[in-house]
Amino acid sequence: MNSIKLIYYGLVLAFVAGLCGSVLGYVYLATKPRIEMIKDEQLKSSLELVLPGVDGFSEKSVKGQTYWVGLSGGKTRGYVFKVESDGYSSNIELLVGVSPDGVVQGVRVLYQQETPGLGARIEEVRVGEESAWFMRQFKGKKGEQLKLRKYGGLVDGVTGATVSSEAVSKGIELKVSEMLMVVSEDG
Amino acid sequence: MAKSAFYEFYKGIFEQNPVFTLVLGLCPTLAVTTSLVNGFGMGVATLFVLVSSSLIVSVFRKRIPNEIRIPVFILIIATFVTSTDLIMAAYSPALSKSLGIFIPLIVVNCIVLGRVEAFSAKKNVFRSILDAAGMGVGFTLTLILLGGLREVLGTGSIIASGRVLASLPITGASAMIITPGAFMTLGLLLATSKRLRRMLK
Repeated sequence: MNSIKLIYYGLVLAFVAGLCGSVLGYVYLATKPRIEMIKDEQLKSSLELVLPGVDGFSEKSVKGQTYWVGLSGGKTRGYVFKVESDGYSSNIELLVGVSPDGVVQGVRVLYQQETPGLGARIEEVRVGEESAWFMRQFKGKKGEQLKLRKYGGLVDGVTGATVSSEAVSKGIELKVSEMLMVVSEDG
Repeated sequence: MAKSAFYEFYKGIFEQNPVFTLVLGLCPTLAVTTSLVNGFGMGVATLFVLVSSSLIVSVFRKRIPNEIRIPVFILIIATFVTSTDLIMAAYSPALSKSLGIFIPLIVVNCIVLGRVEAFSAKKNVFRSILDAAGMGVGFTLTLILLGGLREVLGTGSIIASGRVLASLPITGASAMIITPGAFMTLGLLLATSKRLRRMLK
């Protein structure tokens, strides 16, 4: 292969790559507003689900941690924290809403890729019900109560999915106690 | 020598089914078929990438220098895959969430590069599209079959967009949903399709 041919091939490849890049840039820009809108909507509806009954949320950031303050009539009615916990096969991401005294108001899964049929049952919704039974258990509990039963708490784990259940309950318990401290320091 | 155009389409569905005879694209086949809906979504996404890449490659097949055809094909395929990924995230967030990582991986799905290299790079546009569509439909049907079987045996019912499509009076064996179930189901289906083929001969 002589060098002229080599340069020619290089140019062809560069041209094709440039063309493909432009197409992708266009698709990216065209879909970006919609993707961001969906993300915002999902976050907003999740916030309302984990901390119901407040008028609005304001986003705050302390020590690199983002959390949301639920406000009603200018008063703080609770907080929403983001929990990230190592599950069995994925990094489980949750949103937890708590009242100012640390009682969990609601939990919602943002992301999980646990084993379908086992760990993924942390999100299982029973027939005829609207929300996941495992997640619902955290509501109304605080502190040590958020632990699984076998560790002295009040939460029933999912059968056959100890690692995923523990990741969720431990994640919530630790995050809530940690963040309540951070929030109180922050005033 | 010249086979009917219709043959180019239907050969991909059974006679040259990409999974059962060519045994290509097994990675997504095994990984995403945990439910019928996931199999369907993956199949349709692959079908779209397959048809669009075949169209573009066969239109430009005489312009692409032979020595660098593979990188050019990959660039074309990757462009369509990334576009599919973005469009899916924008218009079908639920599906995009459950297929996750497997959409970007269509780029390295051997079925796509295989058909483009073996077929579209040599044949005219019309036949290339028929071939790609047939292979895509064959792949989709296979994933639906595999996903449906695993879902019904693993959970006892098939659920699509909140409605129960079919159910068995059994408690699901969750082994069917996880990896061993994928291998067992695929193995049995492969054997069945071999047997069927021999009987048809």
